[in-house]
Amino acid sequence: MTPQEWPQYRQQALEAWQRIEEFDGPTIWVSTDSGGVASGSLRTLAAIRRFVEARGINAQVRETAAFGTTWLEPVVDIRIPGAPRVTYGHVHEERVDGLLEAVLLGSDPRADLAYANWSDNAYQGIQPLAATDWWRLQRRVLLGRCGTIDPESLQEAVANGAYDAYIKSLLEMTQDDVIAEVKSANVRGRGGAGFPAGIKWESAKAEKSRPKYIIVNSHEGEPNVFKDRRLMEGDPHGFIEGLLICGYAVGAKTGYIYIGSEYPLAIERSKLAVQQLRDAGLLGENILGTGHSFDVNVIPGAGAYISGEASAAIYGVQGQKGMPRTKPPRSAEAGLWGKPTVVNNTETLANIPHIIKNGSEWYTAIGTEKSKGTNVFSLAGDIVNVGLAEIDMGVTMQDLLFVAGGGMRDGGKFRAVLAGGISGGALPESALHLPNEFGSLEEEGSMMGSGGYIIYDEGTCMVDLAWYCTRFNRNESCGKCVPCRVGTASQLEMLDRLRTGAATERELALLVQSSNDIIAYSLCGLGQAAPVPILSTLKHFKEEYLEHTNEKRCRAGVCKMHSTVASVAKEFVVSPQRIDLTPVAGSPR
Amino acid sequence: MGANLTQTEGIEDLWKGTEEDREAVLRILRGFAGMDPMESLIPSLHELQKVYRYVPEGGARVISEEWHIPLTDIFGVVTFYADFSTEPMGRNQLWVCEGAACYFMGAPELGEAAQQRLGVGYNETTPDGEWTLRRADFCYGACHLAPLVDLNHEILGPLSEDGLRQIIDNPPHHHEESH
Repeated sequence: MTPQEWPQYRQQALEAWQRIEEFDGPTIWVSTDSGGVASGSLRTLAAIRRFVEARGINAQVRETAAFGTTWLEPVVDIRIPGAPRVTYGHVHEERVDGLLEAVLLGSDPRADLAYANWSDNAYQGIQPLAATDWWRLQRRVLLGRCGTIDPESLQEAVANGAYDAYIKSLLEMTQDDVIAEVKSANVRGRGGAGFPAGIKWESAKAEKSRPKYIIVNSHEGEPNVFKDRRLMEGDPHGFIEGLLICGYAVGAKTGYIYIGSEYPLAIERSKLAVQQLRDAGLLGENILGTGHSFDVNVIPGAGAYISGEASAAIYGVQGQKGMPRTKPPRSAEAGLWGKPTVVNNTETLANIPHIIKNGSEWYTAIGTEKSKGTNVFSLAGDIVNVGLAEIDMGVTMQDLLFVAGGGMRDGGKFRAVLAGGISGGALPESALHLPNEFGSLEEEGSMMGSGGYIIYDEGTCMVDLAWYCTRFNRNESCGKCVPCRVGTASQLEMLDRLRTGAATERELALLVQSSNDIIAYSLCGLGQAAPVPILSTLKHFKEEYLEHTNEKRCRAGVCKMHSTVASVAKEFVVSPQRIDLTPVAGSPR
Repeated sequence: MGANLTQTEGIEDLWKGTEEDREAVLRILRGFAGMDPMESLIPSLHELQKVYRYVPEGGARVISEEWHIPLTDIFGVVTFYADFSTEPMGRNQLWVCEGAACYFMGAPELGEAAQQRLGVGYNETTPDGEWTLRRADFCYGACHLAPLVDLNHEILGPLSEDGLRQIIDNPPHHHEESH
């Protein structure tokens, strides 16, 4: 492609999109991302195709990805000419015929089955999307194309704005211009650490060593965090455009998208998107005649949570065990194959095209002092609206969970929210006024992290929650450093004794002490965050721990308080003598 | 970090160490022609396991010889990552999700039911080679279906213990068009 051919390509894409938009028959969208497929949306899709074919209806049936309403899956949207698009939830295959019969043939929009319509006003008893609690706080930037375009079409992405910013960077901006824009936007790492992306780019660009690499860290291993998954499945060209801009700004020749193997559809769609870009001439040698060359490889992980840690991700791409290393050197100085490497999270990169297109001033006007832009939050657990919501940074926990999240499911009473996933911490009701941004939940012993929130009702035992997180961390510890490998294992033993009624208050003191040691001496983020669920539950729910130790009682009725010290010791092959509960001399705290 | 699967005696080992097997591995490796061997190692191990339902030592040896990667490095990778198994796995692979939503919504009970029905523990394979039972410590991103299982890459949920027993007794064989 030459610079002159791009406007032509874009024009064709726009015209094709217009034909889709102005189609004179009904349009039906089915969400066939992994969340939809899990709910049976492929069977729904097949039933829809059978119906329109059998009735000879001139309809366009389109596959798309969810636009965040995961709890409504399988989601089907229908637009008949002259009417707004309407979203229907739980359209399982057996419901298809009835729905289509009414909507397409009977002119009855079935308000009883609809969730919302996409116009600004109510339509035949169907509320507008903007009036729903789930939608009204949202600002759709990163998820803008999700649910609308066919994620497997480059053309549809381009018609909706994709690659404008990339072309603008290549043709109108110097590398330093791009970096300056990203720096002044102050976009912070959405993988959880919140490190400013512009600073990584600047240091990698400044390095003399060649070649340079970019790695998209799409190894989103945090349980119940699925925002990167949805971004990759719903709009792969969104984050890939950010990768291409980064490659240009830093002067890299090769980019890697490192995706966890439990994300097969994200892997497939990323590979397809890369191939489409090669075919279109937006990747490869001498792109648009600018002299800039760039290519992208998609590398799958192999099932290790730690592979999401930046240095472990680099080893993963190198075909090695994902064991983090000490820093410095930072990866911007010595990363992949010892060369300067930028490692950025998927969602971080998805922000970049919007910053280049609209300017950093537009971006910094959204969000808070410390955290700019929007954030894609994953909500799961005992909450009504399990799914995604993209809201400005700084939204309070109350608004996020009880407005966008729809509140507690099945009339349950809120007990805790595990913010930031396993590496975050549990927060009680008294923390619901806090804003969600980088650094705001830390004083209460948690963090926003990658924006994944799991909500628990009163049927959840906080000791069990700490045990669960600790077991996860023990299993996923790479084993390289002792504080993490041995520390998480011994904490798990203590929590086991708590869960079975064999612990005393001395265990609680030892848990705090060992937590502090693990945090202080662990090599990487996994170890440093591993005790956080323990410390946060101890801080906010100490009374539950005391009930376990002193009254041998679990208020949630989860823990089986039957064991004696001896039986627990036998079960876990720990002799009571081995557990020395006296403070260790020389401990830093 | 990966839990190694337990060996079950008598399970059919698809790797016979024949010339065809060697050729099958070479065919996989040819798919990575022109790429860096180390960057291709993990993707090639995935393909090897897809064919043999585990990573056979003989197959790893072929990779080692062809790409000049020490066998010990390959097995370091195979035993580090949970995806890979050094023992043949069953024809059906059942993963019980224990993500942070599923666990608190009944996954341990599902796991218990599966273990009783199949007569094996986690990371074990039934003696007839039909089932390998595993616990997923990661997340399928389908938390709206919690608690769920993954049966041969198909997600089924939300499940009761009875529902899971029925699935084990009559595994669904409708293979829908998958992505």
